[in-house]
Formats: sequence, C-alpha cells, structure tokens
Amino acid sequence: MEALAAEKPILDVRSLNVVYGETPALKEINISFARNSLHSIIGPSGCGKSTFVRCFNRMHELQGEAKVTGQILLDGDDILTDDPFSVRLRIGMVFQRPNPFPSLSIADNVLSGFLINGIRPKKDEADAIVETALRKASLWDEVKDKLKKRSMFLSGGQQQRLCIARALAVEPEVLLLDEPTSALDPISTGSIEELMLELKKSVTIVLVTHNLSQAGRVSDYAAFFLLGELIEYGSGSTFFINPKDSRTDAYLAGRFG
Amino acid sequence: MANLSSKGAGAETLLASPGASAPGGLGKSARGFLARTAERGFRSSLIFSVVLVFAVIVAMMFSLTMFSLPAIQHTGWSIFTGTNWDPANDQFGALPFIVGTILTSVLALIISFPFSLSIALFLGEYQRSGWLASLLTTAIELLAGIPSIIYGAFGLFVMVPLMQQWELTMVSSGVIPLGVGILTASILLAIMIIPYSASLAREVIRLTPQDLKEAAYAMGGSRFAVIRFVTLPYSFSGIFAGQLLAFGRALGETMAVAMVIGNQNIMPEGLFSAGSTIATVIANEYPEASGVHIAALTEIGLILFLITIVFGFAGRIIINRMGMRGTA
Amino acid sequence: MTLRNRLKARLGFNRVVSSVFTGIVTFFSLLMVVPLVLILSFITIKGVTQLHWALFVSDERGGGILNAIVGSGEMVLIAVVLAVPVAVLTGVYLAEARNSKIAEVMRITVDVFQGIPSIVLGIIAYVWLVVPLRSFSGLSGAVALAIMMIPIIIKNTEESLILVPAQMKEAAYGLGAPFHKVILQIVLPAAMSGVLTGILLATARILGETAPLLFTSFGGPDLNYNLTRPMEALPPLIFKYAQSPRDDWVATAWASSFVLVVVVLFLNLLTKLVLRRWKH
Repeated sequence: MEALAAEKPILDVRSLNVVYGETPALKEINISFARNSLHSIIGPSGCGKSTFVRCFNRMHELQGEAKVTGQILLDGDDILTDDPFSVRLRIGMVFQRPNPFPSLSIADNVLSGFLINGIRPKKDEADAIVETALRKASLWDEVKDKLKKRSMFLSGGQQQRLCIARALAVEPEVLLLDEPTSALDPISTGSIEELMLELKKSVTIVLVTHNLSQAGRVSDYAAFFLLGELIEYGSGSTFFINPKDSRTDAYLAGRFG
Repeated sequence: MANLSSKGAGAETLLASPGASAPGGLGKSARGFLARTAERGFRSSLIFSVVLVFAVIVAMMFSLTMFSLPAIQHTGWSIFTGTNWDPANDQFGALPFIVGTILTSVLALIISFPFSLSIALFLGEYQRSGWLASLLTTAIELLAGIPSIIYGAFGLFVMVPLMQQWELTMVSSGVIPLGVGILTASILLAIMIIPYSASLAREVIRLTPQDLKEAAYAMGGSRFAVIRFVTLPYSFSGIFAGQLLAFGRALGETMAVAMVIGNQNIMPEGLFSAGSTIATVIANEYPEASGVHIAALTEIGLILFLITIVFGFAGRIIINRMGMRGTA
Repeated sequence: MTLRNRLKARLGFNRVVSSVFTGIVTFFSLLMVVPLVLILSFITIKGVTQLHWALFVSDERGGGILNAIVGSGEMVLIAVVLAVPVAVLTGVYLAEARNSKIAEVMRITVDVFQGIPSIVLGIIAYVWLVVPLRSFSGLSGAVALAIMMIPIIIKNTEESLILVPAQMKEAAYGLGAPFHKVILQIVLPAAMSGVLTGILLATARILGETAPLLFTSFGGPDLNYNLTRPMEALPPLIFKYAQSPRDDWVATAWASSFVLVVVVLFLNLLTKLVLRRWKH
C-alpha cells in the first residue's frame, strides 16, 4: 500500500464504516485507488464488497437504514457529504444484470443520462455523444445501423456494453462495475473483459467480481474483503501469485467462498 | 366432461376416473362403491356449478334482450338519439341519460386521477411501509368498504349544501343554486372510485423492476426523474387499465348519484345543471313502470350492461396481459 | 457551456422539482383521509344521537327499523346460502383445471360478471322472479344479491386455492386419497382464509347494496319473515327516509346509516382478522 501512495490517488477511502441496523457491513476500511487503472474487489458473498462499491455513488442510500461514517475522497472532494446526484455523474455504475431501458431506442439509452435529467442534446451533439460512447464501449460497429431500434433485441453481452456506453456518455471519472459478467455467457464475458482492458486507459475502474480468474486477467490492483474487513490490497501481479495474508491465500486457492 | 381432459395438469386429476384414484382392493366392496359415488358426485357438482355460473350469465343477456324487445320494436335506434323521455306519451329518447352517465363518469375520472395517481405513487414508490403508509392503506380500504347509500346520504346532507353555497356566489353568471347536479355527482363519484384505481395502480407501480430504477438513479436522476422516466412508462398500461375499471364502476353507480344529481330527465346544460344517468332513471322509474316503459327501462339497462362489459373487458385484457391477475 | 456542464448545472433545479413533486404527491394522498373522516364522523355524530332502543324493537309502523333489520338479515342469509356452494365449487374448478380452455373462458366470464352494475342485477331478478310470481318478494331481492356475491367468492376461492403448495396435494394423492377427499380435506382447509375472506367481503358488499333491491324486495312497513312477500332492508330504508321532508324520518335515516356502517365495517375488519389469523 505504501507503494501506491507515491502517485496521487483518484479515490481515497478513510476509515469507512457502514452499519445496517445493528449489523456492521464494513469495518474501518482504508484504501486508495490509483488513477486510470483497474481495481478488482473480491471476496465471498456477503463480505461487503457490493456495499463497498455502492457507497461510492451513494446507491446504498436507496435501501434504507445504512449508517455510514468515514470519508471517501474523489480528487479531494468528500463523496459522502457531497450532493449524491452530482456524485453519480462523476462515478458511473454498471450492474450485475444488463438493464438498458426497455422502452428506449439504443441511441436514447446512450443519451439517457442527459434525458433523465431533463437535458435534450441537439441532433449533432447527440449523434456525436452516441457514436463516441458506443465506440468506447466497442459496440458501434454492431449497432450503428439500428440506433433507432429498441435495446431489447440486443444479446445479453451487447446489452451490457450498451449499459457501459450509457455510463460513459456522461464522462464519469470512475466506473463501478458490479459483477458485470455474472449474468453473461463466456463469449460475452470475454468481450466485456477486453473492453475493460481498453477502458482502464482512460477511466478508473472498480470491478466487483466473483470470478477470480477474471480478476486475475484484468486487474492492476486487487482487494480482498472478508466479513466486512479489508484483508489485503496489492498490485495484481503479486496479489494473485503471492498473497501475504493466509486468508487471501485460502480464498484464492478455493478453500472457501 | 370430455372437454375437461384436453388440457392442463389440473384437468388430469379432474378427469381421472373415480376408481383409478382409489388404489387397493376396495373395488368391489360396498365401501368402494360409496367412495366411487362420492367421487362421482363431487366431480359432477363441480361441473354443475361451472355450467350454472355460465348459464346465469348467458340467461341474463337473453332475459334482458327479450324483456327489452317491445321497446326495441317501438323505439328503434332513436333511443340513442332522442332527447325526449316522456313515458306518459310513450316517448323514449334516452340520450340525456347516456350523456349524463358518460359526463359524470368522465368528470369523476378526471377529478379522481390526481388523487389516485398520488396515492398509488405514495404507497407504491415513496412509502411502501411505515405508519403513514398503513394509515393511508386503511383509509383507502375503509373508503372502498363504505356502502354507496352512505356516500349518497353524505352527499345529500353535507356536499349538497356546500355546493349550494358555492353556487350562490355565481348566481350573477346564470348558475341556478340547486346544490344537486352533474358536478356534485361527479365529485362524489370521484371519491368513490379512487380506492379502485389507486389500489390497482399501486400494484403495477410496485412491479416496476428495481434494477431499472437503480439504473436511472445511477445516472444522477432525481426521484421525480426516476418516476417520470422509469416508473410511469413501465406502469402506464396498468394505470390505464385501473382507470378503465374505475370508469366502469362509475358508469354503473346508482344510489349515491341518484341522491345528488337532481333526477331531471333533461339534457344537462352545464356542470351545475341537474340531470340523470341511466342507472338513476332505472332506480327511480322501474318500480312503477309497466308496458313499453318498463321495456324501455330494461333496454337502457341492457345498454349500460353492454357498455360496462366493454370497459371491464378492455381493462381485464390489459391486466391479464401484464400477468397480474388477482390484484384487483 | 459544454453539455456535461449544462447537465451538472441542471441538477439543483431537478432536485427542487423533485421535492415539489414529492410534496404534491403527499398532499393529494393525505387529502383522501379527509372525506373518510368527514363521512365517518358525520354518520357517527348524527347517527349516535338518534339511536334509541325503540328503533330495534319495533317495525316502521311503530317508528322503528326492526322490519328492515330482519329483512336485510334474512335476504343476506338466503343470498349467502344460494351463492356460496356454487361459487366455491366453481372457484375450486377454476383453480384445479387451471389451464383448460373451459377455465379460461370461465375466468373471463367471471371478470365480466363482476363488472355488471348492481342495478342491472335488480332488473334480472325482476324479470326472473317478480314477473312470474306477480309480486315483489324478499326472495327476488336475495337472488339479486346472490348473483352479486358469486364472482367475488369465485375469484377469492380460486386465488387462495392456487396458493396451496402442490406438494401437499401430491402427498395426499400419493397416499391414495381420491380427488374429492384431497380437495375437501386438504386443499380447501389449507385455503380456508382466502375462501372465508371472499365470503365475508361479498357479504359486506351486499349488505350495503340498495339498487338491486328497489324493485325486487321493494319494501314494506311491517315486520315480515315471509320471503314471498315484499321485504324491507336497511339500505333502501335509508334511501327512502333520507330524502323525506319529515325530520323524524331523516333522523331515522341517520341512525340506520350508523347501524349499517358499523355492521359493514365490522365485517370488513373481521375479514382482515381472518386473513391475518390464518396466514400464520
């Protein structure tokens, strides 16, 4: 972790605690994320990894009574005290199951970040945004002829890339991917993984995943959570080959989880 | 009985011959005979009930039509277009009642809509649980349970004087301060149908997929934006179906309307005019009618029946298509 | 200004719009409690003050409402007796032969049935019973009410039967129980809360019904138990008295309204209790 502190991190989490009712979900998390790299969060179900990423865009507030203390600094601004709506523009999110808006066309799905908030871009602006975002999400070539069609006709993997394009359209600084391939077949998963490797050059990605080999393939850094605690965090190359903590070792070896 | 076998897991058990489902060597004994008889009796009574219910519906249509025949022959299509309803001279133009029925129901729907949609959003989106939600739910259930005659008494003794006072301030612009009339009836109807449309709309709003809402929130959407962008488009057809069903209910409502609409057999001239609906005319005239008059009243009853079937049917089809049968 | 900056600048406005909308929704929702409170309090205040013992022990000739109470009770009872067996059995059929063509047709029929205005059911009972018997009668009123109950009970029965776990039935069939025993001794008891709920709801509904009785049971001022003769009921009595010019009759209307509301809401409450009790 000391090695990481050298460059200025984009995200800096300081003694983050989350309590649901009486049960603590996250305990004293301290971690910082370097810019333009991919950080994967791994751990068994219920370890708090999903709660952890949901704090970054304040989605945890949607599900009632979570008590959160500590700080999450995004380029120095505390996310937890900021206005949640502007936080969500800076930190985009992609969910487990592809969830494009079924009643909208592909193009409008890409633009939905603007449309939802009452901004209707002019035709040329809109076209530019749609093309840029779809290109970034490696979907442009597949859908450029059917931008007016509804998104339901796309395959699962295409839908998930559409969701990524949708998130990228508002130019977030960080992209949260919450198990983005768990509902997809291996081929689609492969294409999403390639996409992640491409995207991390220009945006910081925080990836929650159950799939350890996926984490191994794409991560620059990896963090292991267990029972609401951050057990270990390190650069991908050492983390997966030579973990320091015996619990990480046991998890990676498939002895639990 | 043969039709039963054609489809479905349930049908199998219904059809399996009585003996087959009783295993073991009871077949020839007296107990076996009794068991088979009981089994056969039970199956027959099931089918008898179904046939009976179906026959009742068919017979209702048939009876209404037959009993209307003298009026249908006497008046023809002009029952829909005539504006003069004068039983003493065998004149049966029902247009004023048709207009009165549709006018009060449409107004009731318009008046009730902001309330029923708000309640549906409040209970389906904002406060799914908690004391405020249960207070409101209980209030809605109680409103739905109050008999229409009680609404009528409330309308007559409380709303009519209030409306009259309001109308008195408008006498200069030509309003006759009756208190009773189209608007009074519509407001009362609106209160009565809110529980129906609200509870159906609440159910469909609750069915809005959480992941779509989360997607919209994650794009920086405010709560209102999520409702406008995700919840309402998603639940639109269900809300619409609820409105259709509520409209059907308003069309057929009798007692409450009869007590506050003024019961004049005239074409309503405005919101403050007295009038009648099909249901109120039947309620007021049927007990003393005979001859062509009673046939004409039956005929407008048949018309009401058919209109409500159309709206009820349309609403049901939408609900069934949404796969949420049983919520209303 | 770039689009993204316009987007950022817009958020504050959106937040205000959202709060205003929340306020409007809350306001309109809670406003609905007002008519309820008004109705219940008016009926209670006006009704309770007019209650006196004589109401319940004498008929209309004696200034009471006993004949209407007896008539309501008798007609509702007959309606329940007529409707419940047919409706419950039909509900059983619809639940058991769920996917058959007949069940599909019947389901639509029942939905249509439920939407029929009650005044039309009055006409039906008039044509079926008043005309042939040449007299208004309690029986014709009871038949109109019974027809009204049927779809409500059918739907509740069907829906609660569908919820009975299939394993329960399979276990019983596996032990060799015949169909009627499985239904009568396993399925119906398991679904009892739903079936009872339907019956109670339907009873509460017809207890307050006026329209189908106006020209079937018609009414009469004397205490009468005979179903073949005209019979008074509480709701038509309220209708008649509420619109009368005599103050003592209006007072009786208030008192009767109070009695009716108490009984109907009590039945509704009972329904909720039944549902809650059996669920666990």
